[in-house]
Amino acid sequence: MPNLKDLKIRIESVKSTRKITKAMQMVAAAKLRKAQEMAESSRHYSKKVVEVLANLSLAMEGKEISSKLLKGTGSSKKHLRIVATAERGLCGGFNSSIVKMAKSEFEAFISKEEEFQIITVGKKGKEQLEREYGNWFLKHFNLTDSDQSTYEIAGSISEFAIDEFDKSGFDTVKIYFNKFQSVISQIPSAQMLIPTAVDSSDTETLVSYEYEPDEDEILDELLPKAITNYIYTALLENAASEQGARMSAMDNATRNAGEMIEKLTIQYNRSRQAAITNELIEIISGAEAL
Amino acid sequence: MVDKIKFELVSPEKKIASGEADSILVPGFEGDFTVLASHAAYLSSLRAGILRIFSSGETTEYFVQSGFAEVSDQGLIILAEKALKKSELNIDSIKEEISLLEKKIMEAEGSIKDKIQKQVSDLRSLV
Repeated sequence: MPNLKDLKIRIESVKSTRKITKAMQMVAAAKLRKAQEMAESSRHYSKKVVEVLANLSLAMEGKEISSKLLKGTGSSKKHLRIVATAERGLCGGFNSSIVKMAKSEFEAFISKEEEFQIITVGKKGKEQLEREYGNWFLKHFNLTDSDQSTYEIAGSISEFAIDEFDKSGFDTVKIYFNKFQSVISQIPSAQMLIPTAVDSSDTETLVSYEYEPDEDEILDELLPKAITNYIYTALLENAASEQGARMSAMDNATRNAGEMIEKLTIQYNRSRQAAITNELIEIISGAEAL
Repeated sequence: MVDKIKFELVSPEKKIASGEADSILVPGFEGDFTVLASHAAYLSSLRAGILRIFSSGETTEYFVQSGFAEVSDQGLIILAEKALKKSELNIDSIKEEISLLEKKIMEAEGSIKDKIQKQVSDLRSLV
């Protein structure tokens, strides 16, 4: 049986851990609200861009399109994959669920002998993928070390990806991230970037615009922006998911620490009582011997 | 009473302005154009420039860069990657961007070079 002092030290240490996890939970809750607000305020722009793109691609149906970004190259042999994770851990299964999803596709590529390369966003994904897939790494983007806003980061990722697409002859580009469902549920998802998936079912009416400059040139300019927009949305969803996941993970940790403290306190009291009983027996039997 | 046109100015981060106006001067890719109520459906890309909103005698000015203007029966919607009030515009940051773009011109070729050159001249005209 551990002695009383050791137990006391353990109880104290679990108590301070509980304080930390409680604080982290509250910080995550505050950050989550901010992240959700950001996602909310970006939704308007994002919806519009998708709408304009859907309209434009409908208008271009059957016409010659100079940009390969919309329809892709026609084949599917060489892939570029963006894995967006968080900079920090301690957020439950947030990072590993994205990595797991990405891994299963990478394995499929390897078994089909298709070429692929990886761009990582966020330190945690890089760490988890590095050992197994280090050979396929192309570039890594940090989310925090710069004073750039999230949109600027999304811009530089999309610029790099489009550049690589043109230069190195990739056929598809896809991003993995966690979609924010609620605090307790985040869904690992994938979004196709090139060929740009246009969901025209949402567009209520097809408006025939007059274009300036012509359709093709506008499309040329719109597509990179649409891709940036998809990446930006993914990063925002990811940020909200990360905080949500951290919040519920820390909530669990706080509760577990509470349970542990309770158990340890009971153990402490019992051994204290046992020690007293022991001493009493010793005194009584000492007195009897006289 | 002249009809008013609804407008919205949206950047990726947030909605910057919205409301109704008498007319709006938009810096289009191939030149400025004014949008009045019941304008025909129109989609144009933007160049870096000043967006002027005229409403009952008052003029509000915004700096916009890199985006699109969409006119439909719902009004004018301006999607700009960068948009801020003209009074908040920082001349130094524009100058910085010009020198950055000028470096890019050295490396660029063909049609991209022309595009960057146009961006530089658009920005120059603001300073």
